[in-house]
Parts: sequence; C-alpha cells; structure tokens
Amino acid sequence: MKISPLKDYKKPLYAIGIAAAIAATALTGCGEVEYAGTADTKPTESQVELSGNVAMAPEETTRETVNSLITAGIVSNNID
Amino acid sequence: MNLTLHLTDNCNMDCSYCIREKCPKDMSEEVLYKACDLAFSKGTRAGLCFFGGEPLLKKDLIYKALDYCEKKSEETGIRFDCKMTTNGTLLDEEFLERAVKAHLGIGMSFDGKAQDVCRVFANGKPTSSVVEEKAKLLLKYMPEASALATIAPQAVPFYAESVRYLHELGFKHVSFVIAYGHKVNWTDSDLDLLREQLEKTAVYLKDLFIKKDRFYMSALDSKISDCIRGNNTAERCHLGVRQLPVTPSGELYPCTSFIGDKDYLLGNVFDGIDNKKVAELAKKSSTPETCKGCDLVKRCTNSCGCANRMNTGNENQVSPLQCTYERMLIEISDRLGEELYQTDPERFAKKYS
Repeated sequence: MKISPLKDYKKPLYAIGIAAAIAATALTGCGEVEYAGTADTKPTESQVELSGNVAMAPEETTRETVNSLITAGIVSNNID
Repeated sequence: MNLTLHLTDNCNMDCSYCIREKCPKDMSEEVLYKACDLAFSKGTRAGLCFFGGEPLLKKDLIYKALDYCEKKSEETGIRFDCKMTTNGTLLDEEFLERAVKAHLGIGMSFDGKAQDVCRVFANGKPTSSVVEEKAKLLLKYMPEASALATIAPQAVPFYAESVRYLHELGFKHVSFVIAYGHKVNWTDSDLDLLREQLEKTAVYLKDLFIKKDRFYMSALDSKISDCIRGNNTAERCHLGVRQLPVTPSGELYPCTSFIGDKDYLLGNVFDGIDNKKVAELAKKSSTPETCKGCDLVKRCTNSCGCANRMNTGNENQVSPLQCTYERMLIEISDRLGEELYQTDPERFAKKYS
C-alpha cells in the first residue's frame, strides 16, 4: 500500500447525468423529471453529523418531507 | 451545538480493535447537566450523542439527559436531537420505548458474520447470539436503526457475507468502515482480499437495486451519493467546530481519538469552550501535502483529522492504508454507480440524489 495521487480522473457519467437532469428541471420548471424534487433531502448546513456514524434527524420540515417520500417509496432514508 | 457524551469509560465487551482504554470511570450527574446546558448554549439546535465505553451501562444518565433536554427544548424553543452508538447487548424493551418517544437514533455496533472474530464479552465469551437477538428487538422498535460494522484485517473474509447477513436480519442502513489505529495491522494481502469482498458486495447491492429492495450500505452508497451531491463527507469533520466529545470528567476535546492529549484540551463543561484554542486548531487544519495534487482530494477522507491521527499520529497527514482503501472504494463505487444508473436512471436518481 502507498500514497499515490490520482491524475486524469474522469467524473462518472452517472453524476454528470443526474446533475444535468436536475439543472434541466430547474430551468424549465416542469415536473417531468420527478426525481429532481428530491433535492430537498440534502441536509442543510445546520444538520450536523455527530461522531459515531449515526445521522442526526434533519430539520423538522425536511424530515417530514423525507419521511413522506420514504413512506411513498420515492427516496431512501440516506440523509447522512 | 453538538456534544458526544462519553457517559462511562467502562465497557462490557473487549473488542480487539478498540482504541479506548477501559476504566470504571462514569460521568457524574453534575457533568451531565452541565454538558446538556452547554449543548443548548450555542446555535439553534442542541444535539447529544450518547457514547462510551458502553453508554447503556449508564441508562440512568441517558434517561436523566433526555428528561432534562426535552424540558429545556420546550422552554427555550431550541430543537433537541439525540442519538446513541451502542454494542446493543444491554438493550431492553423499557429503554427502547423511551428511546422511541425521544426520537433517539440508535446505531448498533455489529460486525455481522465477523462479530465473534473481534467482538467478545469482557470475559472472552462470544457475543454474536446475544447481539443478533438484540438486533431483532431493536428493529422491532426502530425499523430504520443502523448497524455499524468495523472491519479489522481478520474480519475481511466475512465482509460481503456480513453485508448480506445484516440486510437479511432486517437492517435497511448499514455502515461499514475499516478499523484504524495501533490495534490493527493491515497488509497488502488483506487489502487485496478486501477489494474482492467489496466487489462481491457491489454485486449484491446491484442485485438488491434490481429487486427494488431499499437498502443503504454506507461504504459504497455514500461515495455515490456524495459524488452526485458534490459533498465531501470528511469535510463535515471540522475538529472542535461542529461537535465536541465530553469525557466523564467534563473535559472537551476536538474528537474522540484526541481524548487525553492535553495539548488538544479545548475546555470543560464548567468553564466552557476555549474559543482561542478552537480557532488555533482550525487554522492548523489543512489538506495533507501528499493529497494536494490528487484528483480525488474532494472525494476521500483525507481531511478526517481523527482517522489521520489514529493512523499517522498527525491530523494533517494521511496514511498509505487510508489512501489505498479510499481509492479502492471510489473505484468500485463509481463502477457500481454507472451500472445502477444504466439499469434504471430514474430510480437511481431517487435513491442517490
């Protein structure tokens, strides 16, 4: 094992694809790309991770949104 | 603000990779309440993480902290969040009922099929059968509870099997990290085997994705999520800024691995935080020199001062072990991400974005 900085790393296509989909939805304001709405599951600055690897509950409004999405099977509860 | 309360330095288990020295020192009620007050003294949220040793050895303190903080939250309007990391062996229905009421998030340290390899009771007896039963009890009360697995070199052959086992047991969230610190000795062949196990795990995760089985495995899934969101998980670990551990005697340190090193003492719950020392520490924090030219600098945990200190003794110096492991994780998670994205882009976005 050794420390070896990586060069010429290409950002994966999945990340580029999702970012493009979200940007497209933001520009058009349409609801066609349903999953773009899950952007609000991203924790805010105040949702701090404590040590111990367990995610804290997000802010109430976000948590309600997320819980409803989880219940509906729309997103996974992976806010950490 | 967020505090991690080391309610006791005692533990009923004796894990081979644990870097904490066990001793029968418990937090006093005075320190506990002062720590709660400190958590409410800054910011718009108060967060407590019950930690140890084994925190369930001090259930009485947890009940007192919950009662006190819930009341304080009502009085002040400041939001209160809490969580706990436990080995699970002392969980019972009474505690879980109170935990559910308090919205206490529980992470159960559970190494899956490797449990008895590294995690035994203090008397040397195996823990797996007890912990499995307690995991079922935990999931009955908290279906979203997490399993936290720590993989030491001798547990690597069980890695993929452990992911499957914890999933089949009912966990929807599992976190797998490798053991760092002076108690473990990783070799190149361990890491070769770890790569094989991670590849197997990726195949299993893909299978679950295809079956629409909701499951989140942090070692790989979090790398995919963070890549999409542009997050760097390790950036959350600003030593002494975002959270502070509180020792049983009430001392404050930047992170768990710094406890006991007086150079890093940042205050105590009686006199408060030494903001000058916190600022000095923040100023010292920097990207390791060896990582500055690396394209993955924002995707790996090189900035985790706690891991760096455990591996190299210096919070700003990354270890070859961590570099090798992180590159491996990113490579495998990127490949998994591409496969899942090609399989079902919409569901992929729902899961990870």
